[in-house]
Amino acid sequence: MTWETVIFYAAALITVVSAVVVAFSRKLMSAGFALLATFGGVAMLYGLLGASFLAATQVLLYIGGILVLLIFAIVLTKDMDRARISMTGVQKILGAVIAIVLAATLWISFSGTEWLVEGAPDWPGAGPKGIGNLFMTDYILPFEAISVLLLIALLGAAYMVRRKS
Amino acid sequence: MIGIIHYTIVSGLLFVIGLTTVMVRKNAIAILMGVELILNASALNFVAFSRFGGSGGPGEVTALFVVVLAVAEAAVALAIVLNYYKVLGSANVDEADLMKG
Repeated sequence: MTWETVIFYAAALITVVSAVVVAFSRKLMSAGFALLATFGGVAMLYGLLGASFLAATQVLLYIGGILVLLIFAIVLTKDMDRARISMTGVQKILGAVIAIVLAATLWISFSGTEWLVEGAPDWPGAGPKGIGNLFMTDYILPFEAISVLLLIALLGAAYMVRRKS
Repeated sequence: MIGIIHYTIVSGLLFVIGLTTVMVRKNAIAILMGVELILNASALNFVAFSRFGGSGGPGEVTALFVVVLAVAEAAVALAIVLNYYKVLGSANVDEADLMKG
């Protein structure tokens, strides 16, 4: 067992277990805080894959941005702690059945596939410089498109929550 | 030895759990959390495949696009949720039937 294996299994365990908590916790706030561990675990996996810039972005944007936004929304909607947040009965069973069938399908297709690439690569990731170069050369059109999208999202969100006069 | 299959399995599990969250939850904010899990699973897959496939760059760039899309989606969706919470007094998706004909 190398250190990489140990860290991978630790990160995978954190990610999956906290994601299960997100799915089935009784309180919405606990689900929000479990999401913190999920995002952190995914950031660890990114780091393990050599994508250190992406790991930092994950921590900054997901944990510092989206999660804070979600928790704000939780505390802004009243008596979330007592409200029933899960479906009941038949819908829950149907959801579980679909999830299990999908998981089995994924498992069968993963284990049946002969992966052409084996073993961990040992070169460093792209790094901030490489990513910046890619953004400004090969991916300039999606980069500009996504900046327009961000502007639209910003305007849309501000428009929707404005005080009506 | 950690190969691509390990990352794919983690990502697949994350996707299935996220989908279960979307299906099982009643509260709109909890459903958004499920969507975030699904987006994380897909971004992880992009990075893993790109990395094991030969170069890390394109996968990381795509994952960054996924992150930005997730941020935009979360901002707009939460604005909608807060708005209909103001109207309905509840954030449950099965009570949001104002547009039912």
